[in-house]
Amino acid sequence: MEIEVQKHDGSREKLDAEGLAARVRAGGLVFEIMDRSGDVKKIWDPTKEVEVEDARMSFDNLTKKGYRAFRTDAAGKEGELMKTFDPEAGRVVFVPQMQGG
Amino acid sequence: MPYTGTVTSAGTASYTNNSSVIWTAWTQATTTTSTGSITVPYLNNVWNGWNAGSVTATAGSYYSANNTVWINWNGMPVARAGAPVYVAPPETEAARTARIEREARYAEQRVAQEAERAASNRRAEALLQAHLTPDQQRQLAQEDWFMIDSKSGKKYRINRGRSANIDVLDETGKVVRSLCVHPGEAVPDADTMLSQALMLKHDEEALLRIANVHGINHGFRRRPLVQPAAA
Repeated sequence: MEIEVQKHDGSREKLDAEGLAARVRAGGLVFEIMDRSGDVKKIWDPTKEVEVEDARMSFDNLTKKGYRAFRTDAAGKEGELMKTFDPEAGRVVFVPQMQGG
Repeated sequence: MPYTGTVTSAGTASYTNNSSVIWTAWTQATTTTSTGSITVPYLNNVWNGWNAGSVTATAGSYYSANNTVWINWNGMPVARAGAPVYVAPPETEAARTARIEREARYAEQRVAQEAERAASNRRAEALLQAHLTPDQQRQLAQEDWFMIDSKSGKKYRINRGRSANIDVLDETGKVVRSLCVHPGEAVPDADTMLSQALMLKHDEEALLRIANVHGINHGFRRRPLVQPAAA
């Protein structure tokens, strides 16, 4: 399945699962933000200051809204809860605020 | 201007103390006639009047036609002769065309929404799969659930779904209770399951604080609960 990724300049790129994992292994920062459409993926280059700042703002905005950020490895298997932004986090899944049902 | 008609008094009991009239007629099951036989005139009359286009009533003063029953039923307790009643105007050709166009537009929107929902589900499923181990992927494919071993040592089973879909297992694999916790936003089920899995693995205490606890046979279970055989 093709995965659409939004880049910092607003352009979009289509990757497969392995291509996305390769980007993360190469140092890319990927946010996977859950929403009604499944999720929105954004990718940043942590070597570019302007992109890191943009990613930091995005992280802060989402966590303020109640999202929880989970860092995962390139393959997405292991991880941890992120309390603060880390440009070298690799792959980060954002979970909307949870509620009891 | 919805009220264009007028009720005409078609029956003697239609517009006076109608609530008791209807109720009495409806609930009166039997009547003994002068010859001693038992009939059910009023009950049947109400029912017949309701269903039929018109009814000739001779058994009493309870109704005259189905319209009267309906009007009385809706008009309680103030229906009276001369009360306004809605009569739908005949559909004009322009209105009919507009209605057909509107229905076609709604049908197109439904198709588009279905396609969008299917795409959302595919994206969420791919995200979930990307974060499951091969064992969990196999469990999900075969059983429609996958297991989570939390850092506290507790075992959880996440069933496909959104509500009350987390089972808490004891050391023998028996379900002891279920938890209901999910994203506030209406994300696809696969996103919900990944949210639950990530929280159980990396933020278990927070999830347990938020979750509502259910018994094991709650109404949200999609398949019958199967417990391991007793040792």
